Amino acid sequence: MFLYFLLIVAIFSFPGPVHAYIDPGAGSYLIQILIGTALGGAYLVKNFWKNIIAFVKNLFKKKPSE
Amino acid sequence: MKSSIVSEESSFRDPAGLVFYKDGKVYRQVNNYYKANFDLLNKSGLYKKLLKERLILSFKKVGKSLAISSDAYCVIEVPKIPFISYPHEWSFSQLKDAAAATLKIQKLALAHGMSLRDATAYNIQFIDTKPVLIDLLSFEKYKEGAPWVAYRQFCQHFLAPLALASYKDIRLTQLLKNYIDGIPLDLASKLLPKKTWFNLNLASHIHFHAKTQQRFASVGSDFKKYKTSLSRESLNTIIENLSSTIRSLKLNLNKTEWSHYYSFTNYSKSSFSAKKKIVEKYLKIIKPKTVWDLGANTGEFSRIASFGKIFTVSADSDVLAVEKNYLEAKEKNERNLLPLVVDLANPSPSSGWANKERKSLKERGPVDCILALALIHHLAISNNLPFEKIAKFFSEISKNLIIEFVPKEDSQVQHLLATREDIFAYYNIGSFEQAFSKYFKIIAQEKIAGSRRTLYCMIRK
Repeated sequence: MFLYFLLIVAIFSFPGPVHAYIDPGAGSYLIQILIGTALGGAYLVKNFWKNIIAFVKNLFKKKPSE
Repeated sequence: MKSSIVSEESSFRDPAGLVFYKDGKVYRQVNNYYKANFDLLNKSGLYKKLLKERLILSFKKVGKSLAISSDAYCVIEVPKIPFISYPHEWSFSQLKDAAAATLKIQKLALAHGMSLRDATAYNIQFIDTKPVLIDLLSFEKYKEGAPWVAYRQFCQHFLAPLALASYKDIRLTQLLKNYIDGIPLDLASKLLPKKTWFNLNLASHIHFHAKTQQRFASVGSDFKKYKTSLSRESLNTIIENLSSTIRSLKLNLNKTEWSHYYSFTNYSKSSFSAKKKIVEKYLKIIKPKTVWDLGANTGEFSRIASFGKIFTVSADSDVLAVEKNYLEAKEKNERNLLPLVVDLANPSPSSGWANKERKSLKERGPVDCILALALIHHLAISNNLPFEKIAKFFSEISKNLIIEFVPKEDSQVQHLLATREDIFAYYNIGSFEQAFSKYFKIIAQEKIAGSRRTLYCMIRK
């Protein structure tokens, strides 16, 4: 009897993604976050270098002020 | 008189609404459950933008009295799609374009504060060679920090089959016939060659994805322990990454017997154009609104119908021929043509729940007219089908028939008989006419000048 009670408690405390029409899968959420973070990091690094390069290019383009 | 309402059998999973048919029109009931999101779809400008980009089906609001249940918020009418096709009937590039469209839609959705709730390939239909989203209730308000709920589905429906077709074999997209929610990632991971582990994108979205699915399959209440939020920027980056991954998947086109068909036929140029003229003439007699060209190869004859503004399904079992057909239609922005992969000897079955969700080829008919050109010998000889069985099936799926009889002396038939015993004593024009006359009335026939073949125009009895 107590086991059934535990089971019911366990089922109802399963958080899961709320209001999901389809099952996104716990593993899928996690891998997405991992990939997103890694890509986001790579994107920031790429952006960082892009900005550096743009800044340097700008220095050489600057005309002496009249 | 009570007009009949027919519910769409595949429209049951979503509490947001459902599709039904009445008096030849297509309606979608939007339920109260979806009210906020439906209003946001319009208010945010997303619908307008998608319509402008030709990525979504248009709709118009109609009277709420048409609703078929009490929890309706409103009812909308959508245009009828001339032929519903399924992902396993698409060639490689059709699936690829559908994938790209889905991602483009998701990108636009995010830009308007919304997100796709699902990314199933069945939400896309082709209209004039353009992939279009037909599920208008697929959007929800974007929640800051939420990962994409449809990511798994996208990988299974689109990324996995495309990767398998590109890296292993073009025929593997046919696995979608069996797996109605896309190819399981662990299966795709096992089938893909080892070198894909060195492709960072495929390794992430397929291989590692499959591993984390298995690892966290029974995560239960431990789920809260893990960080489950994803910034908007990171989400956008993932969508971009998936886009470029899809873009990078290409086919290694090999030549097949039949894509050479039109260079190695036994037709002279003049008999080829003579055949075209007769087909044109017969189409003018029948005046069909829709045509299925069966065994269409690269769609040379399908285009006689489609150029004449008749909606034409251009079907062939050779995936590469359909691929070439689609690419040409896409490049030239052709209308009224839908190239599809269909094996007549084993056409798409009814599938899904209770075998009613996805309709068989026959259930999507009958069509006004079939073109069965250079086909009969493949069915009768390669597939050992008696004429009568072929005639009966054609009469069940079509109201009219333009069919070419290919005699035994024809070099193409001789080619088919080259390596087998000729058990086809019945195979001659007399028994052909006799068998077909059981189901059709022959209203015209003409021998193609410069060949031994005869074209027939028939009407179902």
